[in-house]
Amino acid sequence: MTDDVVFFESHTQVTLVEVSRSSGLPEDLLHELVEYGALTVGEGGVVSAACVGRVREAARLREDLELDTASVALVLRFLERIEELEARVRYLRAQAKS
Amino acid sequence: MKYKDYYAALGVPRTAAADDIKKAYRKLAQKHHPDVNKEAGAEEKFKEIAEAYQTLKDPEKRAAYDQLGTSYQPGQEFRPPPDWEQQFRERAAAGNGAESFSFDDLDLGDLFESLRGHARGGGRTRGNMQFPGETYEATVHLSLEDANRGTQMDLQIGDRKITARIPKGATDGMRLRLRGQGGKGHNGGPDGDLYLNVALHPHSLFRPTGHDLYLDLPLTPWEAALGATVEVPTLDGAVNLKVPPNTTAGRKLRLARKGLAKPSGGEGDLYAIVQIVNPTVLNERERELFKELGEQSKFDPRAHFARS
Repeated sequence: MTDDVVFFESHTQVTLVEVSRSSGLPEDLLHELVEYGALTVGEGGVVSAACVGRVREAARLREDLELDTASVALVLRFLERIEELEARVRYLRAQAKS
Repeated sequence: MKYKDYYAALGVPRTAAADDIKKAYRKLAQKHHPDVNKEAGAEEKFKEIAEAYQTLKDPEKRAAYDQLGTSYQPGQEFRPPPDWEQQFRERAAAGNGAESFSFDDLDLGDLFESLRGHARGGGRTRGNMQFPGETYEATVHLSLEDANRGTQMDLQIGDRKITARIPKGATDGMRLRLRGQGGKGHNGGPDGDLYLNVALHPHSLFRPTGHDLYLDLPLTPWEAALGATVEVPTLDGAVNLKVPPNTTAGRKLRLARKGLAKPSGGEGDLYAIVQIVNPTVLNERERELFKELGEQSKFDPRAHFARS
């Protein structure tokens, strides 16, 4: 059963095919997002699994708010920035006296 | 079936042009989308707006909806016109082989959703096609202890109850995918996946960051100055920690591998952050000893004030 559970950590890698399957976004759109620099592809066409949640959220916003590709790319960058800042807040909170 | 006022949901008059309906939807959707607006109730509000737009943006559906007229109040029970029932019956029979159904169990939004299938002729082909189950996504709130040892949780997603097994290794802000634990596949298609966003409950002692934990460690001035061995709590029970002499406030003492379990094996660390705590009340003897220390010591914690 363990194989059926995947933790999306920053060092876990997934293919764009998997990102497409999990987000419902077509692969050619994902390639466009790579061209926009909103997704970083490593060797063998893999991306960090940490992006899967962000791509799913961006896909919902694209569908519901009728966003174009440039806007989806921007959303992805902002979501990544929010996640970085949230992690930073968790780190600082952990350091601070409760 | 309960009547819903789709025009009111979008805040447009019944005579609104298609373009105005689109503009109203875009404006409201930006404001209430649950991925943007984290306030309670935003999701419900967005669903209302989206349902209204799905119907009113489609000329065929809008015309069908307009047939209901203006005599109903939102939430009022009503009976759809007979030709609706006919349309739906045809589609249901062609698509799912269902012979009987009841409008009483249906939601107005679901009904319009099904009319779309009919209009596209999708019902006929979709009936025998394999297609995967729906992807589910949920946020789970775990205690540190449960995240550390793994747990099972009962989740209510829509009308389905799912028991999700969460192996050890989750931490705050992490996402995980449970393959095949989403919606059931149709006609032999694969089951959908379940995505979980993990949020940890605040703990009374430990503060997580990644898989590391932070703990405040109060010490007396003499423990900090002279060094001591003190008992500190961890998720696996208390351990002894050696505090070196001349320990200052704010110093981080690391207890290796006493943090949270990581998914791929190993554990994070536990950091005890030193606080130096004075007694709030001194007895006579303690006061004398502090006084003597004050007279004897040349230590000046504010020496840098003079330099600046």
